[in-house]
Amino acid sequence: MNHSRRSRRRRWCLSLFAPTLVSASALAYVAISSGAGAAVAASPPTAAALYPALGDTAPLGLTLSSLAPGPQEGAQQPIWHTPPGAEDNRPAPQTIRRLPSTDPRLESWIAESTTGGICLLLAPARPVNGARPIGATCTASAEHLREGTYLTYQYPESNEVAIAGVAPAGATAIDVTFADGTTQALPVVGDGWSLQSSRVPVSLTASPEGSTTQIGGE
Amino acid sequence: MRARLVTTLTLAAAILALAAASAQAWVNWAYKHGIRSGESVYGPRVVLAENLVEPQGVGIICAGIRGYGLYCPPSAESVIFFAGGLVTSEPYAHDHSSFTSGFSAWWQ
Repeated sequence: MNHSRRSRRRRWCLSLFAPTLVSASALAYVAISSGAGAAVAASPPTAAALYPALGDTAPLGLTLSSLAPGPQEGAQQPIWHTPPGAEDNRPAPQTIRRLPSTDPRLESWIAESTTGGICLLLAPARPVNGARPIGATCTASAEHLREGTYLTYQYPESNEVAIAGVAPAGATAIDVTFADGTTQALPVVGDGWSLQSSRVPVSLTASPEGSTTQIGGE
Repeated sequence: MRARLVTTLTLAAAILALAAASAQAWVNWAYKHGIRSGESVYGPRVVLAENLVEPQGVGIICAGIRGYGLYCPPSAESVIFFAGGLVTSEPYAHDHSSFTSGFSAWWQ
């Protein structure tokens, strides 16, 4: 009697759990065969791995301030405002690093963005109309991290254009094509490149391999 | 005596925090505003330090402060233009792409 009851209970357990076990096995097979297992094994490289400049320890040459901006005070170096609690996509203050200057008229910095992208900050090395302008842009996510980014600065009432960038990972030079048809190869130094010119840049090509980017889009 | 000191300090801290918060408040000067290729759209003349421009769509929208320059991103990404301190000027946006697009923008 006891034996029979135990046997019935075993059959009842089997009938309850067997379909669950079969379903779990099938799901695991589908997940592994569709590559989900591979995605876990090979996570994409981090910004720090792609861009060694993020680990640089050279002086920043930039004042980070979380205080409300005050009047212009003829600062010796540019100031970057780091408002507390900012929720938009902007450079993460603790990751900002100076890029080596390849044009003495410009200063630029690399940073990780607050949403996992990569950022570029650009400032003219000299005041503009008594101010120290500085601009920043960041890619939205880590999706296109390898492609780097860049920023252009148009001086007021002038034909001069400044352009600086974080080069795509692995690039050694950036070939710039100007509106007048001329070209110029810029060396990539410590992940960065920069140029100031009165010629209007229209496209960029990363060397040794990389697609051509039209400045201003297609 | 001690309670009065604590109350005074707490009040002072609250006033300072409120002043800092209001001084750093972003003012929206354009919301999902249309912009044509090559067009510049200007905000009000104010005392500002920063202009933040966000694209609405795939257009490349630049952030400028009149008299201090214009920053343009490579694609439809937001741009922050910080003047380094307060200036009296106008924030503006410029469509750097070859088609009509839109943007939102804030100054502070």
